[in-house]
Amino acid sequence: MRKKSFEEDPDEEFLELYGEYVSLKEIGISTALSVAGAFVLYFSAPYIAEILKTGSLVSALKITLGAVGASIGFLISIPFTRVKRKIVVE
Amino acid sequence: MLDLYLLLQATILSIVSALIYIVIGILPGTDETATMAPIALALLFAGVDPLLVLAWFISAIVAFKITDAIPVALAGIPGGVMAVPQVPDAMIAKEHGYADTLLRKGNSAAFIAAIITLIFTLIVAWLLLPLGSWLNTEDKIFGVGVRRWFWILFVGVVILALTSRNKALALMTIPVFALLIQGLRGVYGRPVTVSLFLGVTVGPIIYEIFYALNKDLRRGIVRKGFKEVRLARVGRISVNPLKNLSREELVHTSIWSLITSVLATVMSPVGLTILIGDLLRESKKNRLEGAILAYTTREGIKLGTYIGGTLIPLIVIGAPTGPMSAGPAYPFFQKIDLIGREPFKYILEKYSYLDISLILIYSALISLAITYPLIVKYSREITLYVFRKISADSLYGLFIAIALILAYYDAGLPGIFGMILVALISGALARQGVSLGVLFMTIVGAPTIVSLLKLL
Repeated sequence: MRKKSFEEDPDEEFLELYGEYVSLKEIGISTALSVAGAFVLYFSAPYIAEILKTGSLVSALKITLGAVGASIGFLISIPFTRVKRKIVVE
Repeated sequence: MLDLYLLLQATILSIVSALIYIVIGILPGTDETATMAPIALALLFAGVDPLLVLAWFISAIVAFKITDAIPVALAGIPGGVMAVPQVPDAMIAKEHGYADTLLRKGNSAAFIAAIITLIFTLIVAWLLLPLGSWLNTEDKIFGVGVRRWFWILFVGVVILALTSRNKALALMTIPVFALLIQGLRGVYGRPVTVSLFLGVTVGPIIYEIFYALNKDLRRGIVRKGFKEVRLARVGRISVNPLKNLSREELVHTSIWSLITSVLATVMSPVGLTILIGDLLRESKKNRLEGAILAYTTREGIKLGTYIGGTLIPLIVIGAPTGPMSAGPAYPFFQKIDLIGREPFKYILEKYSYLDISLILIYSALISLAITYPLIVKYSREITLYVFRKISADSLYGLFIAIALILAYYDAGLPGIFGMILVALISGALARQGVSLGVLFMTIVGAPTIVSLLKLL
């Protein structure tokens, strides 16, 4: 697991995307986790619909569960990515 | 018909929506379409009553558009695309130590604009309702069926192209991008829309990531160490919004939020926020006074354009005629199998106009009741927490995952590659100065544009 923002290496290089500093490796990790979460729950939708006895809702469940899975992946990815902001409180 | 159960559901959904979008609003760089459309779509697919989803959506607009300006006021970092025009105003005010003044005035302007534009928009939409069937009438132009609202959309997209940084390229993009979209739909064999929208939304991020994969190209965006973010101090803020605004600020906020709420039917909310704000800033000789007036009025315009840009096309026209309705609010215009029609039709057919108005005003008030006092008291603490805990990397990963899953749902593996194609082209065009609104609106108008092109 990567260390959080308090461990800054002033020489470490990041990329500036839309005013935020990011690392391609960490974007890769977070994308992989969110995509994995999304697709695992997406493909589980028919089984979950069967358990819930809501077969007619499979299509709807796919999107809803996919979004939930992506969000779970996002939450899991938070400890694996560093916040690259050095906050100075005025 | 409104009943207690529906009201209870609307209350819960509005509260949850406000709490979620307070955080999303403060998160830097969150795009409105990527964060609002997928959740609304998921709720609609899950079988939630479309009126309740609309209540959720209105609550989200209020919370999101109030909070996305907080990191701007405190740190000069926009919390959403709509807050970007406020950054130069905030930097001037911060130089003079007026960050808390901005926060106070911004919150108050948003509070007032949310209430007056919602009521105004509902009245205007009701007055314009008889126009709906006329606008949806199909005319034959050399054998091609063209609905009359298409011309509103067409005028809107041309205006938007002409206000883009690269006007010629933006104008040329309209037929070219329409052909690309119809080509993809032909390959998919179905009129896919949502994943194409998300392709445009995540386009700039995906394009920049691919761009950065090349060592030579990425040199210009390499930075060393962490980004320093200076967070300004906040003093006491009055809870009474009228006390926080001068007479001039109140007048400008009210008038411009109302005018732009109607203009957003076909025009870009970001474009209007830039245009009116810049005009007001330049009207003042004193740089600081101009910046504060522009910032405050822009806050009102953000709320006005989002509310009007959603409700007028939804209630009156029944088609997404502007960047707001063709972007974040698009799920309300997409056919949902569970209800057998588009959500906007379901809402208008099942509920009376009074019921719709009451639910929407109710959800906006709930959102304001949560967001406004929370921001007045804890804006700095919430911003600090979000800035310290959530990385941009995780957030971008989430956007990309949501776009991919919707693309797969729309058209399987070809849908994913089609979405990436749209994203790369959108990212490249955005970098060359084409407003993303032009692309959103072209997606909606593409079938008619291509049919008309074939005539020539």
